Amino acid sequence: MSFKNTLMDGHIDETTRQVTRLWTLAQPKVSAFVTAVVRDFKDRDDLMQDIAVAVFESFDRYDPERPFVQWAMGVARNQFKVYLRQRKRHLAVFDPETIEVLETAFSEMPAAASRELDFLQDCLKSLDGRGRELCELRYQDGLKPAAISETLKLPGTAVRKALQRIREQLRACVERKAAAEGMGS
Amino acid sequence: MSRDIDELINGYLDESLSEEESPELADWIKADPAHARQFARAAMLHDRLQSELNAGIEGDEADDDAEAGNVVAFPGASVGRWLIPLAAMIVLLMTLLLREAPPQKRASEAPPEIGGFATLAHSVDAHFAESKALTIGQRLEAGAIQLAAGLIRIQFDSGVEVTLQGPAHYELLKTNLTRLNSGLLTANVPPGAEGFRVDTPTAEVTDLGTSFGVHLDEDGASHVSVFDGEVEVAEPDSGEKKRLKEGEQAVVTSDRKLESAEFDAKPYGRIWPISFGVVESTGSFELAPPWPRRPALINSDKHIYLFSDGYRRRLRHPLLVNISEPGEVVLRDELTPKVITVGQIVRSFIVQHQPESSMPRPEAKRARGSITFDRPILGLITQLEELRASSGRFSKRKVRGQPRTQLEFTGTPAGDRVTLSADRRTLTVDLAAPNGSTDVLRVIIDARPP
Repeated sequence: MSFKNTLMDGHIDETTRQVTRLWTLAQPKVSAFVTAVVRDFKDRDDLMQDIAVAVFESFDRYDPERPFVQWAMGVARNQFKVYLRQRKRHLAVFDPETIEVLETAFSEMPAAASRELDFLQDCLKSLDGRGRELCELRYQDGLKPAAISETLKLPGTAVRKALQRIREQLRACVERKAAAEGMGS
Repeated sequence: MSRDIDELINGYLDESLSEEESPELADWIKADPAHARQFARAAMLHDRLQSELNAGIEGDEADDDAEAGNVVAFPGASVGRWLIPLAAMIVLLMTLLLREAPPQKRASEAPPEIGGFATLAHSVDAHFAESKALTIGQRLEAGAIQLAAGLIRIQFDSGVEVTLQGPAHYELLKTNLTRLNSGLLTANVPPGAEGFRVDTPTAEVTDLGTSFGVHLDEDGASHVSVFDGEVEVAEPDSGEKKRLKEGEQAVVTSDRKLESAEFDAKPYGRIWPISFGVVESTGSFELAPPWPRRPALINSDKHIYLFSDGYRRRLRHPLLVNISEPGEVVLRDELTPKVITVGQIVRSFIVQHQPESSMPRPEAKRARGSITFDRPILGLITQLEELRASSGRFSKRKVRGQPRTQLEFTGTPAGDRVTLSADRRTLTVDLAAPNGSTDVLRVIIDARPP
């Protein structure tokens, strides 16, 4: 493929710059879409890598008249299907119709929705010690509520509720900060 | 709707939805595009939270100055995910496209067509009794393994690695439940696979994120030694439990008494190298003992020590290595730098030569040796910048401070030499550590199942 050959020569051409730029913008949404349809963190990483490769390899089939995010989302959906077929794992929690509805929701999501999450890092600092600990156990260590409740000696329902409250708190925080910057979604 | 919708959404994100609840959530999503948008936004926050918090790990564990350059987050993490310079992005994409294994091949790496939940990863002089002989690469499902002699290493799909020393009778029951009826084993349980259990006739050993050993003696007592992390040992009849930390040992006697015991790693002397995939070592090479594990404390004029650094893991960020091609490196311009791409399953080891005497010496102490792994070496990290960037990425605890020295490829008598064999399995080093300094390099092994 010519695109790949260009890269092998070590020469970076305009097409490469273009696809890189477009993908950088589309990637947060595609990543969130994958999160919405694949629950396991490790599987998601794997799939995201396959999608990135597929986007670059099939860029010559992208019609510039169409929104890039929508096209990339289509590539993501196809890779997801391939993934399910190859792995034969029960990765899919949702039926195909739900996945399609979600694909549309992500394609049409305003850019501001993803931009306001840039405040997340700041907002994480506002969590108290226990909130931060819960976040780390869930997101860094990948523990599910049952395992967290074992670790912290808390009832499972308390852990689930606390995680839900943390997300609500963070959501409110990023919206507040985005609104303050005049970029609310 | 039987449950509050927010609870359902959060249940999905926390992987705690029941089989009945998933379709309930799906129906709600389909009922209204506004619902789909609400769920999409929740998933987006969840996705970003995961990226932010994991980007933090690298930042916390490596020094700030180690982040520059080659720990670029893509695509899973995000300190700079939105700020990656275009050029860096392109380099990453090039490495993505040029990686050795195409996506199709990599995706089929965990054999999906064949059943089972583990793979026989390695065997050394293994003889099997009664049960059929097992071959390397063979998928294993629930069943008993009668190992008459020799050693085998089993790689579970969950990431757990169990090394078994014969004679032993070991049963795989479920992906996270096994039973040792006789013999000796070590288990390495990476983060995410906690809860892995080894039962014995007298004890239940539950991992809490760790590396540990279990062996049954002739009297039927079960000895449990913890090399890293923490395990829980229970005597099932009385329900008595004990938590053991690294460097601790307990025994459940044949009359079912749970007692603390003196830590003794000697029984694991033979199994230890195999559990790390080390086939052979020659010259000055020594595998660091199970305990104590702090490299800073291990000085030796004679020995080059190999330390395991963390667990088998999938790279979440690209990793820059300095030597990636077979051959000898004597001069700095013979380095063959390369980026190991995201998604690759690796294991990291540290090679250290730290002479003990602090007295000034006219010349550097030299140590030579080679070490052979049962899996290919993907790359070696020998230069300061890359050593620092990779420090703390593989084990959560800081086994050592920031590296201060690097290998010196000067071609002079005081220079270092490193050779990677043609089959990538053997590393030969000839190291000169000048006065009071330490030579350190990191070895990155391909840890995919065979």
